[in-house]
Amino acid sequence: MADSTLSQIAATAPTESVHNVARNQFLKALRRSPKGLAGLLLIGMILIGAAAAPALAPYDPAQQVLGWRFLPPVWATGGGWDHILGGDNLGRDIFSRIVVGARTSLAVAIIVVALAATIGSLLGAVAGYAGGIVDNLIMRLVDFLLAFPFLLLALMIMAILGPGFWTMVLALSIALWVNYARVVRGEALRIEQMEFVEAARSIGVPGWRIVLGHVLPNVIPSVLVLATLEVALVIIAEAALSFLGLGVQPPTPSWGKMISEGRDFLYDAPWMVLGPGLVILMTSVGINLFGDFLRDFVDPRAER
Amino acid sequence: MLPLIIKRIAYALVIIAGIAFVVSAMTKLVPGDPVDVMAAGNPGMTEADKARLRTQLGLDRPMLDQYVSYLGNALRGDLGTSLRQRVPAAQLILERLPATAELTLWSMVLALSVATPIGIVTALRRDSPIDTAGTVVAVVGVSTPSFLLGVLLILLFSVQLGWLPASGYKGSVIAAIPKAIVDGRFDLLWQKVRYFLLPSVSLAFGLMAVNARLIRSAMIETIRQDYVQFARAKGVPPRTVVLKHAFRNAIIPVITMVGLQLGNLLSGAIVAETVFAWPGIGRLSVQAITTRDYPLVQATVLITAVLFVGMNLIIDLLYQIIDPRMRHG
Amino acid sequence: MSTPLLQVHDLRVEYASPRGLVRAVAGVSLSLDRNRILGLVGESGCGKSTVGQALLGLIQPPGRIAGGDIRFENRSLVGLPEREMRRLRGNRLSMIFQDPTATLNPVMTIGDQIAELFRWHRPRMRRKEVQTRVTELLERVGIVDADRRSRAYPHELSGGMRQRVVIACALALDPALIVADEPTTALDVTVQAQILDLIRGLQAEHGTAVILVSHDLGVIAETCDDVAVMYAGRIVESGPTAEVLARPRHPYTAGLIASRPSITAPDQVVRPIPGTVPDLANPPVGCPFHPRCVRAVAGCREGIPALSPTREEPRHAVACPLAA
Repeated sequence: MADSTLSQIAATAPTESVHNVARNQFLKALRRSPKGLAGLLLIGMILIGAAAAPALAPYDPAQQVLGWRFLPPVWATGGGWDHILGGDNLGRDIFSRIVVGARTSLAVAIIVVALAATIGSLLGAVAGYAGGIVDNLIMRLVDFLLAFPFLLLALMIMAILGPGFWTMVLALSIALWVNYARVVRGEALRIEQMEFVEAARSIGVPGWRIVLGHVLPNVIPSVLVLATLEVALVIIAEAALSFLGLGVQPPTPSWGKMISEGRDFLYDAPWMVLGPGLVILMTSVGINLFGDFLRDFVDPRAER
Repeated sequence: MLPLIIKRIAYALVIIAGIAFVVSAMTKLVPGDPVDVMAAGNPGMTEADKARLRTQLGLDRPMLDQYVSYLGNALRGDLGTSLRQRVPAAQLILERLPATAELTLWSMVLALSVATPIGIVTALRRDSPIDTAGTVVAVVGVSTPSFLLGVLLILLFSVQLGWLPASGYKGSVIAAIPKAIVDGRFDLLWQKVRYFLLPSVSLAFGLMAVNARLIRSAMIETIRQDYVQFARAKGVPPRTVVLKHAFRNAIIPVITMVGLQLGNLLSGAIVAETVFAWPGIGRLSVQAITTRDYPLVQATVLITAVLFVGMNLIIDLLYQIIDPRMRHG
Repeated sequence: MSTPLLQVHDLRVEYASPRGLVRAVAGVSLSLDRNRILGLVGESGCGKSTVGQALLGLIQPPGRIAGGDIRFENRSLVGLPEREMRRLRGNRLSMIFQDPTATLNPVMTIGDQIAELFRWHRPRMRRKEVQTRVTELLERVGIVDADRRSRAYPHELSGGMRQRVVIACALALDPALIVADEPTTALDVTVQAQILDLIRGLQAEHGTAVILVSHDLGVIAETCDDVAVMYAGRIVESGPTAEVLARPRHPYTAGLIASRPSITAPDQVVRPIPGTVPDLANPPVGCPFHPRCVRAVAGCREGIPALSPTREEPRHAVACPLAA
């Protein structure tokens, strides 16, 4: 049985060969999964696009050229390969803006998920391990934050702090850490009952070392799955906030902002929303496919 | 059963009190002087206006004091006055509430009524082409933000095909149903439904996908239970076995999720209402935030969060009724 | 003598699995008269429960009945259209499952779960009469305050009570045959005896035929007129219970008896059968028991021995050339 291979392996002392076995099993499962491969392909395309943005973008994303205004994309009559996805209402090259905008989206997503996962996991591990008042305090805070719809909470924080890149990062992180805290606390409670933790405690290993050495490595698989899936969630939330005009401020290009600009020109220039819309879909479909694969790999019983 | 209900209600009240505290403290958390920030967005404010505003927002008082008076006012129905529109925030919210409530309701109805048959069929025909198609649709569903779907639907059905209006709201569908039935004025009903179609589909699509998967896995789990086998062994026809024995049990875990999904819908509504120029609370709160209309922001956040907590409470109580095992637990 | 109520001839049931075709039942023949109790005994995975499910037509994909015949009340059940089979299930043949907690639907009252049988098999019966019959049935299986209890949900009853409800369902329409699949395994020892008494009592009262599937020789010895010992999807020994248990011929039956701890003679050494049940996707060549058999000889690897009567007692049959 390949049941939760990762967690089993994480439970044993990590040695070089064990890592290799885990990696081989992972690659083998990936090769067999059309879902995982398709997801990885899409994610790879977006990542390469974002990394190579300056080289890949044919034009400066902020450059406005009168003659490029409402320039149709390559598939429409009047369009050409110079501007594959056409030009927007201000005469900017849409493809260049999408490629550069990918950096914004990915930056927000990666920073938010890293922050939320770290803080949430630590607090969750502490709550699960310490129990008592500490656990109660942390979990009541979690319950309280969960009483707000996710986007409303982010909006409220942004209403306090004002729009912008960093306030958005902060708002989304505050809204998302609770999920990690819950997952990790649950796992911590489960692992605490296990014999090797008992054994560690009986020989006098201090509490914080048990948390760091035993609890956290064991929850890494579930946290990784959650984090992967939440990268998609954050990319969508970033797009939504920027769509509402609360996220990244101009002139920084952002996919959500591009869609909200394009909304006013649906009749004349539908390509203004089609390009960024397609890229948002590609990214989140890719991440969700890969996240699904990862979840099946970590816990094969979860799905059926 | 009764003590449990009281416990749940008490817990909901504690949460609501907490929400009110955070909302009342919001203005104090704004970096710098919030009145100056507001004044920047509202030219034409005099110094006297500013002073009055400071008192109104309770900035001149300690946090707890401010909270007590905010809570007291809120309980009397006074949620402050909108800076921009110079009318009570409570009145603005009451005007907008029905549109949001009805949009959320129809979206949930749509999501569940489409997801249920798909969930059941894909569970019964597991790993068939239908099931695979379901998986693909589910991934696309959770990956599509409602605002993007909304814009794309407008592009297709309003701009390209010209079948449905791109935005606006022409009154309640529920209110139009009796007239349609009594007077046969289905044309009037359709006039209203037309405006609901695109917003509710764009809101519901993601949940349809999620729920279809949830129902599928709950059904797969239930179908292999002994009691479903036993029902077959009693000679109960297959359709009844699936619907009465399996589905009634499978829907129980899904119902718990519906409470949380209402949160997704309210989140989605904030953006979707902006896309479709829908006169609801979501659009109101976005307008309030962009114009730095703090009293209105406080009021919309408070009401939306209270609604969410309240709906979850109802779902929670409903759960006790549907699952007999919970009644004594 | 009239034809037996049930005649199973060379029944084969197969399951498609990722590891290959699993022959869960590989040619089982048996016959059963009215008013008799037949025990099917064997280790888990020997196919005894599958035989029970096949009788009621409950084998579902990836499983299928691959061959043989089941004649019940003079008609063949194999290949019978699902509609026809459904009319028989719960009506002429019914089943008692192993775990009463899992067998009853948690969201339906027990009264409704019994009434359902009347609703589908006696559609013209009035609601009121159904209610009377439900109460009667509950009383018959020993549930006091039956009228009120019929409105209870399964979780409000004890395990023994639940099994009584399941038995009431099985008896409701006075079937000719009841398959009881490990009816006491999930119950406390003290309740087990009550439930067995109940089954035996009701069986005698109605002249019903019962197939009792169990891994427990004690249960079989106490309850059954006849016994069939199954191993790896086949019957290896069969005959009157007293005769088979007193003079087991097949090494497997002897092993089963020897591996039971005895209360009366606690000093007696328990001798477990060495080895494990064979993988039915990849069974051993020859006699399926030979890898675990203490008496195995080279010839045991060639050909699967047929079940044939012993010389002394023609009703006692054994599938071992060394023992016949």
